[in-house]
Amino acid sequence: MAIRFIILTLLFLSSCTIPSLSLYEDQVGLMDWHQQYIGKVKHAVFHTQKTGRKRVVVSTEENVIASLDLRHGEIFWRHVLGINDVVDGIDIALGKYVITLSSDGSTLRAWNLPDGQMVWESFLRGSKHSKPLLLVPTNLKVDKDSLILVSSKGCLHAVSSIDGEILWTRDFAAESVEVQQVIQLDESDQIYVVGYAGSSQFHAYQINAMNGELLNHETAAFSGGFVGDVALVSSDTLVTLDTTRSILVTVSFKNRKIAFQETHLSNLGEDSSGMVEILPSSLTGMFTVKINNYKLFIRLTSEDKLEVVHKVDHETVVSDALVFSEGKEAFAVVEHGGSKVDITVKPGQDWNNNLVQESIEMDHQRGLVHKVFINNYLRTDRSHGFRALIVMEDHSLLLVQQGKIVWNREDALASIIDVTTSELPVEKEGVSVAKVEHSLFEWLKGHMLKLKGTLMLASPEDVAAIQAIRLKSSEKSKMTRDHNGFRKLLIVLTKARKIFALHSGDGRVVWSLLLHKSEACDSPTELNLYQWQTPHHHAMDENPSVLVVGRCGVSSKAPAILSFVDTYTGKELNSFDLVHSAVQVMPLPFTDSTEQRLHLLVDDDRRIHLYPKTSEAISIFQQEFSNIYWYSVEADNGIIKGHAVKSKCAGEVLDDFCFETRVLWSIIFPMESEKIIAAVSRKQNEVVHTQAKVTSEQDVMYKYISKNLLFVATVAPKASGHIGSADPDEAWLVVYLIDTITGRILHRMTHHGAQGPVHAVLSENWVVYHYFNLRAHRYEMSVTEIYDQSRAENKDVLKLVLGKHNLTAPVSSYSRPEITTKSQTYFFTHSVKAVAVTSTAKGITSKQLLIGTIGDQVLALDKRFLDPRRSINPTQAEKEEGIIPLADSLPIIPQSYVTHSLKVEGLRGILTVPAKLESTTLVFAYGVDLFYTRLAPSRTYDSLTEDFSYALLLLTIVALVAAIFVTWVLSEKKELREKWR
Amino acid sequence: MPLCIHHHRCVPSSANQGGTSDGDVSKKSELAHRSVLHNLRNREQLFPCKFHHCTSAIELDSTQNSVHMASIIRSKSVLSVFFINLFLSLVSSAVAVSSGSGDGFSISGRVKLPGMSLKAFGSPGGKASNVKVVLNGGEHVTFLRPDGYFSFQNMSAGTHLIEVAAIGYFFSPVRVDVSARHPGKVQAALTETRRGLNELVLEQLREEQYYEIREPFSIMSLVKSPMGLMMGFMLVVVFLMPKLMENMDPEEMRRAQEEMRSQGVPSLANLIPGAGRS
Repeated sequence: MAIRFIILTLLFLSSCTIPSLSLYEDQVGLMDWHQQYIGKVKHAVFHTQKTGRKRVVVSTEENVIASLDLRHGEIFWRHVLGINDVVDGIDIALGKYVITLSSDGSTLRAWNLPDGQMVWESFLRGSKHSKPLLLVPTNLKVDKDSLILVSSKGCLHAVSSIDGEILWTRDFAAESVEVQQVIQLDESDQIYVVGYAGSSQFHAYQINAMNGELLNHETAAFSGGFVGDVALVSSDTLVTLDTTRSILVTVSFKNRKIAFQETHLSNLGEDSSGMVEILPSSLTGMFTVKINNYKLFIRLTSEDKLEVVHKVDHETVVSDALVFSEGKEAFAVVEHGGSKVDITVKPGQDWNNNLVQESIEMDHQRGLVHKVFINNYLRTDRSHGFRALIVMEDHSLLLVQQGKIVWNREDALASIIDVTTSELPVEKEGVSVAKVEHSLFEWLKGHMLKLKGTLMLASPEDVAAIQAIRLKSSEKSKMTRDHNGFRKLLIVLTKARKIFALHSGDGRVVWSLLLHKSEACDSPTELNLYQWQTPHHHAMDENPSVLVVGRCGVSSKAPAILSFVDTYTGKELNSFDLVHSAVQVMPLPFTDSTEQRLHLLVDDDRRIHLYPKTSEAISIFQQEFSNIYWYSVEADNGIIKGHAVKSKCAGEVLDDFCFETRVLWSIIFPMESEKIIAAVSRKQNEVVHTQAKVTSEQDVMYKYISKNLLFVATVAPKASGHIGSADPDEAWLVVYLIDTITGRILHRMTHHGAQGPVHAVLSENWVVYHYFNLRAHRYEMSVTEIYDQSRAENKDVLKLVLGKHNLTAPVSSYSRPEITTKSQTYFFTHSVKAVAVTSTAKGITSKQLLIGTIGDQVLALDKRFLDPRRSINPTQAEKEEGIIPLADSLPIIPQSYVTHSLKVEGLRGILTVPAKLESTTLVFAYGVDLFYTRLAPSRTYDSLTEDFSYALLLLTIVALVAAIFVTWVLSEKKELREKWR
Repeated sequence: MPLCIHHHRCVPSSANQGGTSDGDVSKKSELAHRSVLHNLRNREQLFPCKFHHCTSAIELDSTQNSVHMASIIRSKSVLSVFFINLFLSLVSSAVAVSSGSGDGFSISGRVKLPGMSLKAFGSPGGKASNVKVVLNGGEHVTFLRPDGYFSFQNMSAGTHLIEVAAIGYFFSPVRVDVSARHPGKVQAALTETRRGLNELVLEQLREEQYYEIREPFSIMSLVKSPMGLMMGFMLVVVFLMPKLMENMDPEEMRRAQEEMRSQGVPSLANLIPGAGRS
């Protein structure tokens, strides 16, 4: 009895621990990595005047405000603003506050420069839209306060920089003046506000900045009209274009008089046909005009004449003017010359003189220079040096000083559009013996240290050494495939059209590639990434490759471009500009002999095109011709359609790879009551291990598993806006489960008083979705599981004996199985940004939902919490099965945040990839930040954990052997003694 | 401590007087009145109560932790810059109204983090800089001032949801009802606990510990572990069992063995060396 009892207790102890993901603090960084980015820089302000830490404050296209270390490019602090909170301008006031203007000029915030704490926030109101302008004059001071001038929404506001109080406001909207520039008259407290009313009336206001008093108002009409931006060439002169875009208009408004002067571009000896544009700049006495693909630098001479100073191609970039030492001005010009980039810093107004001329070698993967910001510093010999902050086409940020790149940041990674993974190369044979011996010694040493650590004998230095060993672990960053499938390449595609391969071990960039830009296609949009070739069984010599599908333009009719990239080398293998468009790309479950996956591209005429264009592909395709179905969701029209292949294209040009299609079915939602807001299907490569589920009552439930399920959520059109905009009575959410082959609606459910946004995930035979319940005013998550009822009768033994069961019957979408659904709903605390589900190699391991919360954390929630069979008082049998008692809300256990104490700022997506080890799944969460980790939803039951102490095992074995010898000797002695007796 | 309302110089504009009754205005001025008096009491100084543009909170002394504010004010007027003079406010309330544009309400509130309230203004290391306040699941995102205050502008009437995202703390979302009929009335409730809030002061429900605490090494934990238990059991069998067997009556032993054999259960004695011998 005792044995049984003890064995039972042991079993109990070892099996009854609830699987949790918890992590010890010293395990951070062992399996995960976290990278912080900011995005493509729009504005930059240097702060280098004082001694101490030199920094540059930037705002980016990802709505990030960040303070960067000028020496190393690291982030001191960073704030990610809301999605609609686009930054319009930044500056530094009082030498200690960063001022940001955002949300179309309606929000003004001040941040403490050293630590990024928000100091104040002001909301500026106005009636109409106008160009948001931020001006922080340095010399408008009252006591210790200084003024901030903001022109937005048709008003000019003066804001105190200490507490954000609005001191005065002047409305120009009444005269319907659209403010173009706010100019401070040098060193005085008077400002000029200039703008247009209509397209031809020019207004100039002279205002006392201290109290907002209007000193003077001049207006004049210009018959030609104005268009485009203005360039300020001095404090009382600006240049703009007339409506024909062929005449440069110089407007001077000095001495309370407005004078226009017209200069034909042709008079300057330039061909003015084509697109003429004035580029906003702040150079004194000079401005830049862009004509077609070149740029003109035009100077305003002292006689108010315009003359062309220089002519460059359009890839040249000019910085704003920088005032250094006593009114001297400088600006930087960056030109491309082959693989080099030439940076010249010129003194203001003097084109032919160079202060600095540097030439730096530039990686051609960075593309062109898009922006440049300059800053000066004092050299040891009291002369002025200049440093330049350069924003490249690939969104990277570089600091250049003395002809060298001091640091660079790959900020394209803040704007990931699509992610896929690729295997690493297989390890080559032949490892030297010496290396093994060395590593064996190291290995033992490491484990001895670990043992010391577990036994609490380690000194602080030892603890540090242990941590270093664990974090370093050269194993995880190797460039070869590993046995467990933990090491992979993450192939990410960014908005900058740059592809990166990140090593999953440590997150480093293995290679990067800026996609080839063809003549025909200047700026491809809507890029997507597909796995093109993943060799495994045969064709091992081939390298895996990915397919990038882009669109050459904004409209859906724009022709598509394809590009194939080798994932080992990062080289573009091939690229095509297609004649047809691609509104939908479908990877087929077929591969050819070289393991190239067949893809179908649907164009806007609903014709499909097969790739790769080989005869082998076409023969494979023709075999499966009648089995190919797909669907399309037209959310704007509220229509879902099912399609099938009809015949070959009948065109004047014979194309074997083009096929006509037909519409099989369509579901039309009533526009007045339902609007599609979400459509989610199952992951194509998901593996399901068991089709049946044995319940506690020895009953079998058959899961309805179909790859062709589509989850659709519709809401009432009135409730499609934000929370708070709809009344519970006029809001409803309807969810559907649709078979995409037949168009049959398998399940339909209405949630009254609920609204979007809906985030859903469909896996195996269940769907989980997150939405907002307006009545309870809380978020809810619902689960729906689908079971196949037609197979439920199979438990009849007689039928089995007589062979009347349908277990071996093929599953077909054409059969109409009886299905039952079970649903349950729970409250969930947080707003959700993304939902994903873990996926493992064989689908045996239980699943976890990965929920990206509003706080930019990723929460792992066991699927067992979302089980429609949960009840308030589960029976003993159900408890044994692992059914958790029902609660009204889902638990949020802090230890189950996979991101632990880190944030994935601006979280947009979560990708899960199975590892080769069944228990483990790889998770990659991306947004402005990147986070990668490895999860074992039911713990690593199939391998030893990293923490396993081999030394302790060895020690135990040695001790046991010693004990055996000792007891043997003892027993021998005892036996001898017995015999003597 | 009584409620103190700061934050407004935005009052119903004259254009909207038809809708909002005079009673509302007077109620508001009364509130303003009270707040001025209150501040007077606290600060003991002349107080030209500047009513800012619905945005800038008057900084409270850091000791006044329990003074919170929560106000929802119809902000029809934009340009109204007015001062409520102390004397004026004692005699009568002065309401300056000027025309403006921009329809909407504003919500102000405060997030209290442990340890933050005691810190002086602008002290470094305050966690307030890492806190975000999110309206309606991402419609607007704002940040905290050093003293924990936040505000949302230009909101429509209806029910809204405010969430606080702070690493290390669990905050319940708050539902806020903005009433079009009763401007200035705040109705807020924690959605997690369904507790109503008198003022919009958000406190964390609990701290979040993201890591497991490593248990310090102890003999007991080793003994309790499956390995330890197994070892213990082995020791018991090796050293105690023979002793027990010795004390047993051989007759009884044999009977027990036979019984077990007849039952076909793996015998205990078979497992123990020496028992069979004796």
